[in-house]
Amino acid sequence: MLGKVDVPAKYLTVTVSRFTRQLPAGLEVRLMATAVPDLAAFERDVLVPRFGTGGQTEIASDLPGLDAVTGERLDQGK
Amino acid sequence: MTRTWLALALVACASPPPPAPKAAARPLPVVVERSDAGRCEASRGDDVLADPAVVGTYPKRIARLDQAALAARRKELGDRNPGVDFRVDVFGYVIAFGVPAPRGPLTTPAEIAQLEEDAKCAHADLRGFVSKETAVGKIAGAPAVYFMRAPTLERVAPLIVLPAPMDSALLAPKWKLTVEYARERVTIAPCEVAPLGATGTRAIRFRRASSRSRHARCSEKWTCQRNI
Repeated sequence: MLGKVDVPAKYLTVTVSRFTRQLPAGLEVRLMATAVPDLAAFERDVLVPRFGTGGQTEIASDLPGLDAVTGERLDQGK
Repeated sequence: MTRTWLALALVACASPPPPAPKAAARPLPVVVERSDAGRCEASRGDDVLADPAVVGTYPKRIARLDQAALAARRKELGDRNPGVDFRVDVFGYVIAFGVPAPRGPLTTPAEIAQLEEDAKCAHADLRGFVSKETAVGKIAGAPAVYFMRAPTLERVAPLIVLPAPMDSALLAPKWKLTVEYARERVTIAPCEVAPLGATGTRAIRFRRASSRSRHARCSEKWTCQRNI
């Protein structure tokens, strides 16, 4: 491994969508935000200038859904 | 004198009859007006089919009703609309209603559409019901036609108003994303084991195609060469 680099927020694309799920207490509707990294741009701007070509990227952390209104991590089925 | 009595009798016969006593008070029927297209245009009555309230500020929730509340909901609907069988889901939302079929099985779509239209005209509470599909069934042993609409999950949930989301510039920094950067992975390829050669040794020499290095692993980029 050549190195581990944090992805700046500018390379994340945030998508907000409605999220409906059935809970034991009833139906819940909320807005959920998901992030998709633009790895091509990040590799071109950050990785290649730092480590050179011929590398392979691997996302080391997951991308959980966040509540788009509160900004908190979505709780799983309470 | 006789002529006078005869005139009075004629006057009595010519006078209008006294007004009939008023009938007993009965509930007023639903006023239904039909347009040229034959559709009901009466004003809606009490919106008994109104969906139960969405609770909570955020996230919005539609509470699941218990059995007693569901039974009360069905009874309320049935009392207001006699002759109509209602189906409600676990949230109390009306998802289907059934009306008795006027005769045997209804086969043509026009007959089914007319039956639904008649039911909507006869029951003002059904006015806003938009059916999605139909099914046959029975009400008290008699054949009936049920009109179903989209489930609550896909009919009501998209219409619930939610607060505005946070700005994308505020949401993006909440993710902590890390990228590992590595050289191209080397996968160890199985090498062919040389059989016993003419010299009687089992030495195997690996040689890289480009650099002729002898001590290396056998991988995709390395060729195996037997030394016989």
